[in-house]
Amino acid sequence: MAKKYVLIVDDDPDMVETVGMMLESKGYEVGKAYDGIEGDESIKKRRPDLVVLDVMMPRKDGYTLCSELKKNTATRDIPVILLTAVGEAVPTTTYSHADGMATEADDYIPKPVDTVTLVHAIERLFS
Amino acid sequence: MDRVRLGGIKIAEGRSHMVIARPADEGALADITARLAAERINLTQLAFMAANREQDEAISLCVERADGFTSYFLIKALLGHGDRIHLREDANILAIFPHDKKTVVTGNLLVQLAAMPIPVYGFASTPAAMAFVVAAADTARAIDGLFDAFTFPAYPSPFDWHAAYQGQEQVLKEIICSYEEQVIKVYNVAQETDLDLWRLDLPAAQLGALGTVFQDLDPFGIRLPFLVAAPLQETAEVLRLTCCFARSAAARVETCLAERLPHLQPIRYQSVALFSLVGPHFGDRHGITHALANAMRKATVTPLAMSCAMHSVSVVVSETELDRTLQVLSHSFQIPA
Repeated sequence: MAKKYVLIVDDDPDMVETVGMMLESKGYEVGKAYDGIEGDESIKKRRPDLVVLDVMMPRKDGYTLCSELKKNTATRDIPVILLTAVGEAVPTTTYSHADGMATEADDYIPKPVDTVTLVHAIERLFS
Repeated sequence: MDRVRLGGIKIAEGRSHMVIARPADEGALADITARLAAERINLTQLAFMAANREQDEAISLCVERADGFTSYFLIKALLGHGDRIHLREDANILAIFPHDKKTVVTGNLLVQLAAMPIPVYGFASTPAAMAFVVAAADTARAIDGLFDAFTFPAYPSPFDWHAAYQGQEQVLKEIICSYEEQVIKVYNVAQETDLDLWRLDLPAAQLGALGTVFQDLDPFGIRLPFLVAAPLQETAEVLRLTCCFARSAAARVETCLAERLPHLQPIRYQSVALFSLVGPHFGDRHGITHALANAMRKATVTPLAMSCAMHSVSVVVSETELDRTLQVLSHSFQIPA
């Protein structure tokens, strides 16, 4: 059986590396992108089975990319997990929890991410 | 020089940089990081190299510029007679990623910085990135130079890169302030054994030659999982540099160093291990390095070298002390099973 292909989009390279290593050790194939536009281009080149998406990134943020994916009939069924450090703890941010919910992401995990929780979320969306 | 394709560049602007040199004192790092953590001062980059019989301990660290003087005086008060500290008020941290442990990435970086030439006041690697400190006045030129040594598909030019990064800093600071876990959460602990640690005092004029050594090692598939460097003087004329290679690569590393840098006398420590704690903004938040240094002091484990930058802290210890160290860390950090 072909390996599931998970695309990680985050501007934190250590996070991408860490989550990538964990997912590879679980038998997933991993793609990496470091901002929203690169993530978008990567999805167009090769359709992932799931996207792990950070929120605050340069050029195109995770909310925008997630909304675009969910509005596009060709990509709307790709599961998206949003990772975010924003919410009530960051009062002046423009990235609210409500905006995150409006993107129709399939799951929404606050940072600091419990990587075990993240892996479980991925497995649940694949099951 | 063939340009190498990378993912991106990060910048942390408005930093103060300090260089500290002092004779062997196994508590110094824990004391310094404790003092900064007590004042809630974020340590935005650290390169630490332990002393040995002939060489002083060397520390290069960055804090936010607003904390520069406070940090300088706090640290100075901890130092003894004969210790040296120098403050550079206006510095920036640049980081390129991902290096994928490829020696050619660091090689190209060193060759480019040497060719320009741009003085570097510290290097600190992370599992994915290579961070380095330059004077604020040299930053634009350094970024220009990065586009000569690397390609960044997301950013065709330095202008494109700069436009993408404007305005991110303030929100990032607020996010960092929002992390206040009771027990510090770690995404993952990566570890690597069967390594040797190499240390050399490198005249700045030979930085390019060392870059060429790293480029020479690339075709042999030799990986560079760790590198830190700090200047021995305020002028950055000599850098103390410490890096790790696989034990199996020792003969090749020795040959390449002897060919390009025949007058240097590198010191090689055998059988060391590297571990990296990766977590949210570990290279930006106050108290992270202190928690690690303090836990290691309590366990009487001496780090041979340490780097802290971006989102991780990496430590080199004797291989025989790795298991004990990781066990101790589980009391101070929430590490996933």
